[in-house]
Amino acid sequence: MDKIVVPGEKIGAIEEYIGLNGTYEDSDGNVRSKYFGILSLNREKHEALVIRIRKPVLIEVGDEVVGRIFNISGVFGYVRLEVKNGKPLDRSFIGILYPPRAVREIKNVYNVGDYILAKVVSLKNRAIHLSIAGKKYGVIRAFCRVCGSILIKKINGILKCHKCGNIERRKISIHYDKEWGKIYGY
Amino acid sequence: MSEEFRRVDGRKPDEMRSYKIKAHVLKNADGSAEIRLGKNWIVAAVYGPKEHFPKFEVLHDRAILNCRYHMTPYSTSERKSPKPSRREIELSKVIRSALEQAVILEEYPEMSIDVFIEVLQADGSTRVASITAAAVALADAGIPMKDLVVGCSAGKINGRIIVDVGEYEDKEGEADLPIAIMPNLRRVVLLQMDGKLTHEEFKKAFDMALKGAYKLYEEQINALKSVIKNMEVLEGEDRE
Repeated sequence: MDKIVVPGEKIGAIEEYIGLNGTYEDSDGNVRSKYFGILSLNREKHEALVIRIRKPVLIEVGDEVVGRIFNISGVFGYVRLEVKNGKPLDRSFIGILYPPRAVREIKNVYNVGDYILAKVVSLKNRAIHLSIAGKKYGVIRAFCRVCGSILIKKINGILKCHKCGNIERRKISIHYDKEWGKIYGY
Repeated sequence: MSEEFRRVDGRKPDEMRSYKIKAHVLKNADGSAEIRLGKNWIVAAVYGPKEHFPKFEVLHDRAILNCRYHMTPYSTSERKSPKPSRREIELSKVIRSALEQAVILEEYPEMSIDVFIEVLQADGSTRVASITAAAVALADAGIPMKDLVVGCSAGKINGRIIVDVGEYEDKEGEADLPIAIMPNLRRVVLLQMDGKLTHEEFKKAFDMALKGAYKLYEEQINALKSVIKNMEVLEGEDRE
């Protein structure tokens, strides 16, 4: 039984239904809807659930995000997120990035200006914690420290600047400079 | 005077102006609504919840609700300066405190929700019409709310109590009583009074405004439900 409900609409008394997501209990002991959405009632388990029509765009655990590192302090990278699950974000979110393991020099893992593909691992302490552990995740586009042009991936996993020949290292994703448009959702 | 009292625009004392609410009228905002109440024409847009900047302003236990009530320069018969006036700043505050009681802000700590209200055409009782439109826009954006908020005004002109005060009646009348309520929870979230009313007159005016608000509430529900009919695909599949 599906029914459209608006915020504040009474679903039932607390004796009738257990309010799951999208519901709340008021001070008079009624279960009411919290969202404008579709109500689904489970009469056997006595559960009420409201699924909202439109959901605010927020980052959740498990999302795959693309962003650009704008600052590094110590080993932590600060990432301005631009794409979530292949769809461009229209508002600003800032994530915190750690190196996947202990490193001597952070510039061999990531650098300011790099685009990274990462996974959201936690939202604790109201910060978006990103991880680049795993083959899939890591730097997907990097720039030369000397001349600023795009670095090209060589067979042995190192990056070489095609203009000045500078050689750099990164924690590279298997998607490095490939499927750039697909990742970006164009 | 004829037997039946008629107002300037030919309405009965307890007759509302024609009203129409539309939800989701703007493409780029997260939620939006439009209300036409008589010649009032108001658009409300909602953005958020989003990360709040600057960071030192954030509240650690709840979200911040920003509200901006603005009248366009062409909304009145004489050009109005687009700069926010003293009245607009006050109304922004009044509307914010009315909406804050309905929105469950505790779900999004350290974030902010923006509500923008633009009056395209003003014809009296814009503050209650703005609240009515803003509540629909918030619900359309998928923001958790305890209840919708709906407003209506009552007043007094030539010793008679009237509902849904128009612009002329607002200027020439003796009193003006805008109210906003949460209809399901039966709570008053806004109550202002301008002018003088006796105790009995106040009671009568309040009851009339309340009746008007419940009529507008029906229209709010219709506006939201017609969004689903016009939608091609349902986006928010969050069976968590």
